[in-house]
Amino acid sequence: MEQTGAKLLPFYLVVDVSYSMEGPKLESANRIMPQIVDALAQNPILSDKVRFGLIDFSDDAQVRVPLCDLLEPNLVLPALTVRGSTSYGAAFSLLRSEIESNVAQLKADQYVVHRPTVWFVSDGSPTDADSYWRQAFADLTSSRMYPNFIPCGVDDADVNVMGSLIHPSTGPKPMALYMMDAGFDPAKAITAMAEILISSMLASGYSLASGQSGTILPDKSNLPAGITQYDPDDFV
Amino acid sequence: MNSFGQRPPIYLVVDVAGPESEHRKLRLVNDILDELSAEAHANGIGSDDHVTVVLFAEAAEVAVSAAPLYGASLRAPWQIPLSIRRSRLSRSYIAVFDLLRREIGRTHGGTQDTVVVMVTDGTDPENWEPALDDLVSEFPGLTLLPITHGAPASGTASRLARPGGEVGGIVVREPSKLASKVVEGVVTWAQELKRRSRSAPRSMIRNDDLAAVGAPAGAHGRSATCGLEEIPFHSPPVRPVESEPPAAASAATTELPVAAPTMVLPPSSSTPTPTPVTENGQDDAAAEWKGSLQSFVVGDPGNASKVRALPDATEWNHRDTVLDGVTLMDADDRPVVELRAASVRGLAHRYNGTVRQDDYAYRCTDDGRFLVCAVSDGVSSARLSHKAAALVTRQGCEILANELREQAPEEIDWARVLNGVGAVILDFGARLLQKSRQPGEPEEVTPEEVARQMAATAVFAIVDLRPDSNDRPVHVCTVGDSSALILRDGRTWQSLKGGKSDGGAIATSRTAALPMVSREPPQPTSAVLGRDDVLVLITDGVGDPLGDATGPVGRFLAAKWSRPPLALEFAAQVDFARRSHDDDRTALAVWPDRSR
Repeated sequence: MEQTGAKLLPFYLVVDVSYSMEGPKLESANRIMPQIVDALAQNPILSDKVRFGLIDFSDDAQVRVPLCDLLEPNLVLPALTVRGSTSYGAAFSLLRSEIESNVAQLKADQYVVHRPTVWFVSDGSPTDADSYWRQAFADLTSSRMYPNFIPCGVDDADVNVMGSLIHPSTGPKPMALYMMDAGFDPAKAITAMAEILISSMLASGYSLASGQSGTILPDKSNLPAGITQYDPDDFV
Repeated sequence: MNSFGQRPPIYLVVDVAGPESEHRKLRLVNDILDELSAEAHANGIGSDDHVTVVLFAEAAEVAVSAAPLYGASLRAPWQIPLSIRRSRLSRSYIAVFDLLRREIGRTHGGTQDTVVVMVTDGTDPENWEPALDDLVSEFPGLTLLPITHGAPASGTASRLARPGGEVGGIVVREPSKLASKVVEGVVTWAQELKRRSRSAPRSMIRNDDLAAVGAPAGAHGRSATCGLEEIPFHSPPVRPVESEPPAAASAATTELPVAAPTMVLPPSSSTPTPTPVTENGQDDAAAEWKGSLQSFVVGDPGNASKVRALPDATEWNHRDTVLDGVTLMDADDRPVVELRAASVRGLAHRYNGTVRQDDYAYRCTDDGRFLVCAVSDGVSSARLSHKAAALVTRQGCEILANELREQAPEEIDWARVLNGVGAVILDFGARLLQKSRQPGEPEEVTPEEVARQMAATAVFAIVDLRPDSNDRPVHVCTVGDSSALILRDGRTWQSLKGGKSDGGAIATSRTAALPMVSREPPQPTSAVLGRDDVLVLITDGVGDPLGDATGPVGRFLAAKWSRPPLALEFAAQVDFARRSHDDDRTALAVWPDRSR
């Protein structure tokens, strides 16, 4: 189908489904996609342009919702379930191949594809070898179709590990890390991350309509309770 | 016929009870309205295509009152009304029937034929049938067509259908088919009404009458069954195919599609097609007026095509849409060229309540020898860009017309023209920004600052109105991503200048724009406009969906613009709906007069 010149904003939500996510955290994570659907349903300008994909990861990574229009009437959102340990490397590798094939397909359909945004939610440290996941991340972010990568850490996620995932971390439009404050309820923190994601998505869509491109992050002063934003400069 | 007050013949009643997201429910309503509206546009439905939408759960409320099916603003509300939201976990059919009785009685006293399409996906366990019977006996012209989906109790559809024994319900298993089934039902009902008004008594034909009515003596020699099969409504209700509902839901759905009675229809052999109606939906005989203007759609119109258009409260005097349609004449009073132009505010600007930033202008030189025209797109990241676009087009045309007093078009110094336009913007912008300076801020306004606040692309064209032959020389120069094209022989698009470069793996929104002038000298181009060609200047709001002009938008505009349309039509064509294309749109087109 010829979609000459139609602008698209791709988003990927990547969710940790290692065993530690079991319980209220996973319930919160399962509510993210319906919240996004509701937000899109209320914004017809944005919903024409947004494509969303859902990937979960544990020992392996799986595409749970392939990049699509979330308002497709026949779409059924999957329920995430926990399944093992925490391989960041698996998530980054799958993400890279997904983005490359999705963007190539969309461009072949003559869409004008803007840079994808990845929201990466994890509650712990990676259990795969440091060198392995770091290499997978470098491959992802050095690709021509590298995404804007926004890590979101809750519970036992390591602030320094998560901080190293901010991409781009330099240049005119650096991304940021969102971390749960110590002692805050991790399930509520995940819900707060979803709020940040949605407000960023709305702002990015508005910015596209007003002639700019790029992922817009919400103002630091407007963050929900229990979440702290770290900028790339906060890590040396 | 009382022509005062609206008498909606169609009531759409939709069940919004249940734990599902309210937006999903409202989306379903909008899908149905979209299809009804499309059908009304395409074929007309009845002589009075109005619809009233009723939503219900434990309470019922009119959500849309007697709205024309033709209206572009036919939408479900943004939210489920509060009275219903409070009690969304159960449903009351009696509340619906009570409301219908009040509404129908209030609007047309119940003498009129009315169809109530009731879409429900659950069960009301109360004993509601007496209330329904009361409603039907009060309004004998009422047909209730139930459409069930999801998991209602078995037999709900046939229990709701009225008049009993004549009308059946429809059980829909595949959600995506729901809207089209509603439309089929309404259309079948309207056709039946029309047929009935030409023949005899009211009410649907009874089952046992079918054979008699179905095979009128000698008429086409068809049996009733033959006729019946032609009507899509009779095809068995849709069975679930690719999208199986989750296991739990399907287990709860015990109503078998085959068990559902179908609506009993008149034999179609006598009326295989709807009665012809005029474009405006009126019966020919009754037309005191005629004509219509419809909106244009290329492919999927997208969700945005139905947004409300909000004004820009900071710019009350900047028009949403402007358009022109003029004929330029020569000294002997003979037509030389037709010009159409329209600048239309984009859907995103309508939705966000911000001003249109595109503009156009045109003028003839004082001696009438040349037509000068300009189209400009204000760079949207700059706040005052609509002012820049107005300056670029108006001042640009004036500067060019002045140049043409002294110069032949091919000798124009475009760098001087563009610098002249840039200087006007810088001068105007500096004065404007100075006025809004706060104490303590530097008084001087730098050119860079003006360019950040107001910037606009440009495409200029000069058309020779007195050529030596039928081949008119045309000269074009562009800054940024606005572009000029020629539609050759009404068929093939040829790009002259401008547009977007297709570089880079990932898209950005950057473009060159005045007042900043590139160090590279401008690259004007010239072409020949033949007798059957059309010169078209556009902003990227048209250029992006047009692309390389080999796709559906290229075919659409070529078909519509091979000859000059009415000015208002031209504006509606520029405003075509296509998913994800919500930018401001401007086009200016020039047709050489073909009588020469």
